[in-house]
Parts: sequence; structure tokens; C-alpha cells
Amino acid sequence: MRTGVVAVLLLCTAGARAQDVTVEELMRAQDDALRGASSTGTMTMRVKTARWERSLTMQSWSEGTEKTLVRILAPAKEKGTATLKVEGNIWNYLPKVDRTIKVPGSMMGGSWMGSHFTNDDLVREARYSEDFTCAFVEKPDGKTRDHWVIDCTPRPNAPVVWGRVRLAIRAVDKLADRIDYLDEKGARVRTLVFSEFTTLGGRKLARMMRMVPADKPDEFTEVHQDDLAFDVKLPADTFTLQALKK
Amino acid sequence: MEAVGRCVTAAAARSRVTTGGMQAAGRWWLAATLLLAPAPARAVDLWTSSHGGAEAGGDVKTFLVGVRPRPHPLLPSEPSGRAALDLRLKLSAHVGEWLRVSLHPNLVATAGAGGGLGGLAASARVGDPPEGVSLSRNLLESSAVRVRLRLDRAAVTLHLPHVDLTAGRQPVSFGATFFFTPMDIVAPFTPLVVDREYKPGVDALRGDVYIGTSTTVTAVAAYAGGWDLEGLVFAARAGTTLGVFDVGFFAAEARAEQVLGVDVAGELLGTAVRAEATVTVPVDREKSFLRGALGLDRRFESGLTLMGELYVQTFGAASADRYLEQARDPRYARGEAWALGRYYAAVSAGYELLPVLNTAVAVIANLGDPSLAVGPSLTWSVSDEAVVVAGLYTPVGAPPDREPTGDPARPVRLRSEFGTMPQSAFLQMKAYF
Repeated sequence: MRTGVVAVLLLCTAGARAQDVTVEELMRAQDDALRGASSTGTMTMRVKTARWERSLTMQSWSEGTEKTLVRILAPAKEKGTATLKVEGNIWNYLPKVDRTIKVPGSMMGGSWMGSHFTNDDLVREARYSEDFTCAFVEKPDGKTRDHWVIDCTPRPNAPVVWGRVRLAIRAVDKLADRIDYLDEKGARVRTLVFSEFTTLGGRKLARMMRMVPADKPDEFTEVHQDDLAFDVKLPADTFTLQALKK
Repeated sequence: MEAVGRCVTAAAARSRVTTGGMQAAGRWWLAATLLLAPAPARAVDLWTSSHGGAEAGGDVKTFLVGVRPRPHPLLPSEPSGRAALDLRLKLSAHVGEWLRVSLHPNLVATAGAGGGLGGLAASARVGDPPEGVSLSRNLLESSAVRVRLRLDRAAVTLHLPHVDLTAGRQPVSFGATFFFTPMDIVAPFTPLVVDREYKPGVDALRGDVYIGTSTTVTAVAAYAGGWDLEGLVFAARAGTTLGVFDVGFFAAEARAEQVLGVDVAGELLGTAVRAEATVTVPVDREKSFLRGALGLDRRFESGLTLMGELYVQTFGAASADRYLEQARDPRYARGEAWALGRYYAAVSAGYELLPVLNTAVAVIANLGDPSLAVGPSLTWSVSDEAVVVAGLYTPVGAPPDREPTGDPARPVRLRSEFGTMPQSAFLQMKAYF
């Protein structure tokens, strides 16, 4: 999920140039925003439910969607715990016992760190342009409608657990500000809302995203991008077990 | 009874306090916990600059462990209890990305008898490894209370391109399995240790060489009780990733014994697979033995996580009536081994009741006796920085014979390993700053 958070935030920086784009171009542009881009940043995640609240601060380094290193900065209980993802391999480092643990993808299901994101969000690398069939539901008309609304249905055998994904993309800057995740019966399961659009790391993006489960609308998980830099030159050993343990 | 070393009968006898003493330990734990509850949970940046920084953090833990022996004429009859307050300060400083210094002083106060609950009863934390350089001091020692200061970490790490060098007191872990860890020969945990999230450091020199993403070569020289060959451990592991599997090869000269091993971690048919095995050639070159563990983990859509391990150690006793002799093997006194038999299995089922409330049940079985220990537990994440854990271990298995043998070397005939174990319950509070 941590890499998923990074990926989703990067996704929100996508911006197609042309006004009259096809759905394929729009979705490919969003996918391409992830490819090859290196970034580093700090983010804070806040989980709120009716009975409790938690927060987590993380530092991340990424290169495209294939390589990510995330280190927890706070709370103190988790501080120093780090996750390295390189292509299909994931390792966790537990500094208190000096142990590097290989984490198989099959163990990554369920909620991540008690949040409304799942570990599946972290490890899946679905691409809209390859793993979904997308179609416009609405287009901006320059008057009352100021979003593209796009429905994306997973292709057979795509690594996607949703029945359908609906994106609302702002006409003003081609940034998604809402993604609804629906089950196979078409019922909304959760909604990801983006806000605080600003320029960060030289790109316009949503600084905040909030995941709200449909069955518990009073609960949410927010991820706030504290700082972010793109196209940074990362040391060659950034995505190695040596860096994981630093 | 002292002769049986880490056998539970002796452990319980060493730590025996009266029922009143157990209540006193409980009151002591409660007082310590209440005193700690309002403690601020903030790490402190001691120094920050473009060249480096220094910070202080730590944790405070309180433990209450109660032990109730099985009714038996030859075992201690009184319940016993122990409370502990464990305060750890974590100081670290770094210069750029290339030098890091860690210092973790640890103050432990225990109420109850002087010895540990060790053996087959639940114990709060793993025993302190031997120190090549004495960095511990008993600040107070009486029949009721003991206060000990120890440096759990005192290490300097030099980060060079592709190489890390660490000197000093540091944690050392080898292997891929969780319950049974044959490759973790320096200072292993036992499954009955309540607090396994922090490993006390050993005095060691360590070098790690990194090639590419996940190919590593690690070499460690660690103090293990003496400055001669029989008191040192020299270990090396080379590991890499092959497809979706991490594979490692291990070789060690440990306390003058030669150890060769292999470990594997990966995924097969949607199931996590972990395995490690070692062959040990003893000093006398006779009776080489195998220790091997195979673990499978699976997480289900419902949130249920199952972990299972099978373990074999060919140096274990072939039958229960040999356990007392087996317990005299110095490997048990050193904490290098804890299981007395040959064939074991362990299963753990974990389920998230709420994001802040987790329940788990662990079962550790001696397949030879047969006997087992069942350990349910509940973990409540009170806040970002505080956790409360409660649990117990219940034995299932044949208790020792009720009649004494009359043999001083074997005063009681054991009929199963975990059937000898007392019931134990624990309550732990952890706060981090």
C-alpha cells in the first residue's frame, strides 16, 4: 500500500495536453506518469474510525512503479521499519531484531497498518491502459460538466480485485479528483477523493487523498504528501538490501 | 533439581514465590504501569545539521508473568509470579550517510525471585547474552527486587559503497523461519519468550557485502562466552534471490563446532514457504546432527493468517525419560537450544478483530511425547505509541510420574515435555517514545 500510495499520488500528476483526448490517451497518460519517474518524499497517513485514530509518517523513494523503498519515521513503535519492493520481490527490515524478511505477495492481503488501504493496493501494478477497458461516461461540456467521468472494467485475468473503477478527472488540469471502486455487482465499495491541488516538486498534484469505505462513511484514511521531489537523481544503491537496512 | 538446568521443575523452583508474593508482584506491576501511563511519547532530536544528527528515543515495557504448576507431589505447589519494568533508551547519531553510532542502555527492574522463569514457562524476555566486554551492572539485588543496567547496543557502523562494517554490541540474526530457528545460533529467541520484538545485542564484529539488489555476503565474529575457540562464534552467510525465492548458504565455526546450513524463503502456489536446515559437527566429530525447520504461511481473504512449522533436531532425546539428561547438554544452558525432543510442529492462527485489536493462538507440539503448549493471546493497540498484550500458555500432555525414582541424577521420570510445563499467563504493556 505504501508504494500504492506513492503510485496513486504520482497518478494524480498526470496531465494530458490536448483538450479533446480519447479515453485511451487519457488513461495512458496517467499510466505513463508513473513510468520512469523517480521521486522522493515524505507523507503522513491518518486513519480515523469512530473509536480510534492513528497516524504514520513515512519517507519514500521510488523509481517508476517497479522500485520503491519506504521507511517509517513515526510513530516510534514502528520507526525504522522499512519495506523494499523491486519488481515482484518485497522485503521488510525489522531493525529491533536486525532481520530482513522476504514477504511473499500472498501474505500481502488485508488491511495495511489498520488503514482503509489494503496491502493489495501496495503490490498490484495494474495499468489502466493495459489491464482495463475504459469508456467515457461523461465529458466536460464547458458549461455545467467540468469532469471526464470514465468507467474502467478489468480485462479477463487482470490483477484487479474490483468489478469496476470509475474515475472523475478534472477538465481544468486533467487530474483525477475522485475514484470509486465498485464490486462485481456494481455496488460502491470505497471512494478515493483527492484534494489540495497544488504544485509540489515542480508538478501540479493533489497533496491530499482520502479513502472512505462505502459501508462506514464516517471513517477514512487520509494520506498527506508533506513534501515531494520528482526526477531526482537517486544513488545507484537506493533500491538494495543495503539501503533497506540503513 | 538444579541439575536439570532449564527443565521447568527447576526453573519454577528457582523462581518460586508464595501466592502472597505473586500478588505483590502484581501490585508492583500495576504501580509501574500506572506511573508510566502518562509518560510523554516523543523522540527527541538531540542534534541536526547538514552533516549529520543525533536523536534519542526508546521504550518502556512492563511485564507480569504468573506461573501455576500442575498439581504434582514432586513439583512446586505454590503459584509464582514475577513483575518486570524494562526501560530502554535508544540513542543514535550519524555522520552523513556513512557513519552511525547506536547506544541502547537498558534498565530492568524485576520483582520476585532472582532467577528467570526460563525453561518451559513463559518468560518476559530473552536472557542476556554473555558479554565479552562487561557493560552491565546490578544496581540493586535482593531477594525481592533486582535492578540491572545493561547496554543492549553499543555499536559503530561504517557504511561504504557495497559494504557495511559494524563493531560492538549489536543484534545478530540468521535464518528464515520463525518458531524454530536452527540457523540462529548466536542468541536465539525461544517460542515462549513474550517479548520477541527486540533482540539484545551480542559483542561482535560484522561485515556485510552487497552485490546488486539482493545478493549479500555476511560475516560475523561474535563473543559467546569466552575468548577461546569454544567461546566464540564465527559465522558467514551468502544469499541471493533466485526467481521468487531468497536462498542462503551458511557456514560457521561455533564454539569449536562446525555448522553448515541452507535457508530458503519464497512463495509456492500462493503459500509462503520458509525453510532452513543446519548440520552440526561436534568437537569430538562424533554424532553429527541435523536441525531443520520448514514453515508455510497463508493469509486468507477473511483476514485469518495461518503459520505452521515442522521441526526436527536429531540430537534431541528419543524418549521422554531421557529429557533430564538431555537438559544437561550445555547447549541448553547457553540458550542455544530449548526443545528437548526430536520432532516438533507449531501452528499460529492470527486474526484481526479490529484494526487495533488482534487475537492469535499458537500451538507448539512435541510430536514424540506427544504433548503441546497452547498459547492464546490478545494484542490491543491502545494508541500510536502504546500496546497491551495479554496471553497464556496451557500445557497438554502426560505429567511426570508421581513416584520419585530414587535416582539423584534423575529424581523424577518425565513422561512428556510440555506436560511438565506449568500454566503461565502474562500481561505486558509497551509504550514507545
